[in-house]
Amino acid sequence: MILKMIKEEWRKNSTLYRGRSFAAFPFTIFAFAFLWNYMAVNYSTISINSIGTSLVVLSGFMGLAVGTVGFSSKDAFKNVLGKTNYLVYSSHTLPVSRSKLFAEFLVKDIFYYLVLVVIPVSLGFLIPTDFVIMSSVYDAMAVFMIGVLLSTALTLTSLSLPSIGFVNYSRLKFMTPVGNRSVLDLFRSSGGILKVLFSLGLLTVFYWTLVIHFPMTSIFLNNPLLSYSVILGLLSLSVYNWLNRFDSMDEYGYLPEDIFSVVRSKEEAYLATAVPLSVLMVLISAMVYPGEILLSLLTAICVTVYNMAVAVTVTGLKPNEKLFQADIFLKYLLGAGALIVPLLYLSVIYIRPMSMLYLGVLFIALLGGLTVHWVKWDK
Amino acid sequence: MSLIEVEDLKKSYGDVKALNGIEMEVQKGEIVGVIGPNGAGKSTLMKIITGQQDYDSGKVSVFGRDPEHESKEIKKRMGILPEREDPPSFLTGKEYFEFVSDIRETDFDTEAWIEKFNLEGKMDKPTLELSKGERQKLMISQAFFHEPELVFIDEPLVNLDPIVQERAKDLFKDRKEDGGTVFLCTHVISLAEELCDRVFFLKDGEVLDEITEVENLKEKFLEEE
Repeated sequence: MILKMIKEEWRKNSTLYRGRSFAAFPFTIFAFAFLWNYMAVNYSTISINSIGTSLVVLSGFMGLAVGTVGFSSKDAFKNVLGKTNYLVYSSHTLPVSRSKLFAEFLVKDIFYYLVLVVIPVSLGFLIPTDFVIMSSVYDAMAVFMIGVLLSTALTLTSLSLPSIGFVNYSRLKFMTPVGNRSVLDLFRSSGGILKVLFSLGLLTVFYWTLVIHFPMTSIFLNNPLLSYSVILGLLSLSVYNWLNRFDSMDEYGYLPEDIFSVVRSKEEAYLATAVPLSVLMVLISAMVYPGEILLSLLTAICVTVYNMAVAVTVTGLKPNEKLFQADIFLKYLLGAGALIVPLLYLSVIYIRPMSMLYLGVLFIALLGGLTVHWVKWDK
Repeated sequence: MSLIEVEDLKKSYGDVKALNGIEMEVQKGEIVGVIGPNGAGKSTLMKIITGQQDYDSGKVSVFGRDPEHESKEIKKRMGILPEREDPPSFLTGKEYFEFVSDIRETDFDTEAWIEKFNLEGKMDKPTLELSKGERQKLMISQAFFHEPELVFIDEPLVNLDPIVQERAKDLFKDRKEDGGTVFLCTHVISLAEELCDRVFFLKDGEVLDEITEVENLKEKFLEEE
């Protein structure tokens, strides 16, 4: 069944994301990883050991992220997501155990993401270092698999909130009907809002563990809270992904809605969810590691909004599918990077007299992102 | 002026010609049926007329407007019952009615529709937990509650028990009596025979015949086939 699932996954993705474009995805991320590490090896003071360690850490992140599939699997098994015609759901109609199918699905996913992401990224780290960090590559793969299993195990346990009544349609009337429905779907699907907190929380815990327990991070980070707020804004993309996981434009075809009104509703739902979450995460982090709190809050909010503008502009209502398309992914990286890279750099070297410069960059980039978005979706 | 005008409408999916030069007019106050075998192009035609699908060439006009570019405005005056089994969402039945009511900015007489379709005790459950028939009842309700001028119905009676089927048919007839127009796509010939004033017979994306005498439709259908 695992081989059949792999074949099915390939066919599904190459159909959805256009064959060549999907096949180019591993090469694209290899190119990025290679370029970054080539620069790091030849033009920075970062040691080879640090590069090896960062590969292992990155793989751990990816494993944890991939493992959150457990949340959508729970709903899919309950026939919530609609498309239950894949092999993993055949326990509905065939005498096959559900847990066996899910275990095989997990093995398939580990293999799939290893080939699609982990191996290309590892090669991008390995080649510029003249294969010196080979042992780190083995560690990275092991850490990736442990991450997937750990994250899946956690998501499949009893992470759920009381559904109906906790958040209901009437209470969210300040939003458009489609925005309201999107937030309710997010809250009422398996794991509820905890699944978003979980993915952001895992990465947050990981970040602060590094900052607090690894003295080498102080070489990179002058202002950990400020840098965290930039990364957090970037990670908020996962909220937009979740908000688009339970419906599609087709579902609104019979109602007086068009793509523009649905996009606006999704943005509204994103802002109503991601911005408070970002603020909450920054406030919690500030209690652990105080820093420039007001500037960090402003950064988190602006990057969250900017990230939405880029994601909506390049992926529309299909972030979960289109970000695996090499050309779209590249556009997203360039769009998001245009703000994230300079901001991250400024946050790293930040000292208080730079606050006006920092705010200026934040403002200009935000204005640019919103203008691009306006041209595409509003004009 | 006709409510719906279709001239030389063409639509292809790759090499497959889904619609190949459709000509059609629908007047106010009639129930018009589109029948044909599976893959004849019925659903594609309905999606184009309702602005859910673009087309390659030809002309389509609904209420004197182009559905491809003014779908939102046109859909405000329509009711659409799609073939798919929506709404599989986390909204409860009551919330779903509220949702549709908010989008259409028209009050939904929830209690009346609950009574009409025997939905008592079901409306506080998420719609994804309802049976296919119960979901279909919600969908029929959303297509008619705002008393639209024009209603599009794609395979309306699938999953409904015989009593509810009769209630749904009454609903279609009542809409006509109230001056509305009903556009019905189906491959259930007896339904078209019972409800329609005129029937277009579609095959391979073309209108093979326009039948104005709908008696003995089954024999005519078999002859065309």
